[in-house]
Amino acid sequence: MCDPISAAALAGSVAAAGGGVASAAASALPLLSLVGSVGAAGLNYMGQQQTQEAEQNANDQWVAYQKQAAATAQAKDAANRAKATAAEQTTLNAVSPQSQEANQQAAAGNLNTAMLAGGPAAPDANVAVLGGGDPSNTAVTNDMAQRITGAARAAQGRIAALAGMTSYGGGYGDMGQLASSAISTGNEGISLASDFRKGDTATLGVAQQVQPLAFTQGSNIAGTLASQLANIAGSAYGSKLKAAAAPATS
Amino acid sequence: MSGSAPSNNQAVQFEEQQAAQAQQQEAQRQARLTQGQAAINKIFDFSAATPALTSNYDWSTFQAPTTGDASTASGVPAGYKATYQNPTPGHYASPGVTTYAANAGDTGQRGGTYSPMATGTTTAGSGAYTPGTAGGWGLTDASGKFYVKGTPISITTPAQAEGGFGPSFYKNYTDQILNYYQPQEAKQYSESKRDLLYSLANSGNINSSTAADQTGELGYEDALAKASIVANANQQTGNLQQQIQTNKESLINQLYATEDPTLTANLAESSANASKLTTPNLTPAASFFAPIAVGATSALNSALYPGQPYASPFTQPQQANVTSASGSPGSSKVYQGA
Repeated sequence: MCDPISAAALAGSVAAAGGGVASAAASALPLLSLVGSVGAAGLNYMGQQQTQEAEQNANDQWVAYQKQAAATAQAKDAANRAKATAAEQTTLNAVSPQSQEANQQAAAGNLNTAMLAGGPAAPDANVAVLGGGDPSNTAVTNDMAQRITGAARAAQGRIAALAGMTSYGGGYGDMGQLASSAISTGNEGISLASDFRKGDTATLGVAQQVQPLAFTQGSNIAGTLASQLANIAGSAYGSKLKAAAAPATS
Repeated sequence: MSGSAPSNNQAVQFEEQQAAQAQQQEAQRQARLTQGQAAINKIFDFSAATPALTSNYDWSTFQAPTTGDASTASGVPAGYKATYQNPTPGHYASPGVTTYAANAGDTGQRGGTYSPMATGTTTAGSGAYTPGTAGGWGLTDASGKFYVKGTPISITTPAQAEGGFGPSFYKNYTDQILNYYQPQEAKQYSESKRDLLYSLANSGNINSSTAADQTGELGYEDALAKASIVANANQQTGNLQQQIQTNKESLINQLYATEDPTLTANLAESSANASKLTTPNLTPAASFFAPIAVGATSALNSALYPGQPYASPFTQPQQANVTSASGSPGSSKVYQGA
């Protein structure tokens, strides 16, 4: 209301109104009408400029807001993806052929030891039980010891095969069990990171729904008034011209 | 002047509020999931037992707060809290320290009523001199005793019991199975050996190749039976481990569904306790040893020597050259006395 154009427009409009009353100022009506129109246009232009500036400012803020939200979500996503990748890598290392082979061999060794623990009685004991205790009867003791040792050796071979077979899967601490456990542990980390990523993405989606502020140019009282008064002045001047021209034609 | 104003101000404010709320809720949700996952891991995952450990506190790990908020200190050992204590100035029994000047022998500073003079002595002044105490950030123990930074503190880390399901738990389970089956197997082996001995004795083959064969066979079966028991125990223990892993995964799924770490922790605790009470599937052991047939030999010997249940070639020289067919593979020769 205090800028020069507004002041001029209002002054023009007021003057135009005053001019309508005072016939002495009738000659100023065209000028007043012109000034009022220019003032109204100027005010309208300024309003548009301010609206554009406000919208630009709001858009800038909105862009900054969206950038910030996207950057935050991206950083979280990257961190969670890194966690998932780390979990996956740990799992891959655990189930690599080398690791699994090492697990299988360790399990086979442990099982073999456990299976042979408290093994068959020593051949000598069996020989003694069967009456081969006669120290002079070497034929008996030798043959018995040989056969019993052979049987024990055959049993150990089968036991080693059983331990080797069992070490691949199905039992505690074997290759399959350790691989399964490693995969489950990896899945836990990957699932958690994946869940977090989904949540963060959904959160970003909510942030992306935020609209920028939209500005509309409201009614300009001063401009409207100036425009109306300019119209009045123009109309009055037109009537005056019409009235002045009428006698000449008659 | 222009009257331009945002036409969707309320809508935008609402949307921003929704976005902020969503972000906060997601952060809280993630915190709940993290807490729940940690609780499940603590209950299920193996952690080795650690003995109590006493060591000198490493003050380099202590990071004093920069804001004055003691709760923001880091590296504070368990049982202690970060505390700031003002230094107390040394003072003489007689007042008037303001009159003191820096004298030779002073190691502190003077000036002012509360000039810090924590250490050192001086010949100046009158009356007894009470040294001040150093101040600053330090640690306070449970009794309230303050330790200024750098003061040696002996920290005791309490012993930690083994946590989760670890080797000792599974070994105990395996041992239960072994302890059930192995005595049965040993008993059956002993009985089979006794029966074999009697049979061989009755058939007069106690010092024969049949005896050697069948004793070897018995030992062979004994070894395989023992190995089979171990394999069975290992299998059952593996099944238990798999079941526990499945339980853990179910609880994690429940955590995702409920997002309630407390509920999940309680369920995990219950599940873990139930698993710890799991008993092996122990069924009566079948016969580990197939009866070793020496019947044919016995029948032959009985026919040849009626009324003599025990016919040793060493005591019955007349049957020294008798070769009998036995149920075991291979020939049966009777050893001659030396």
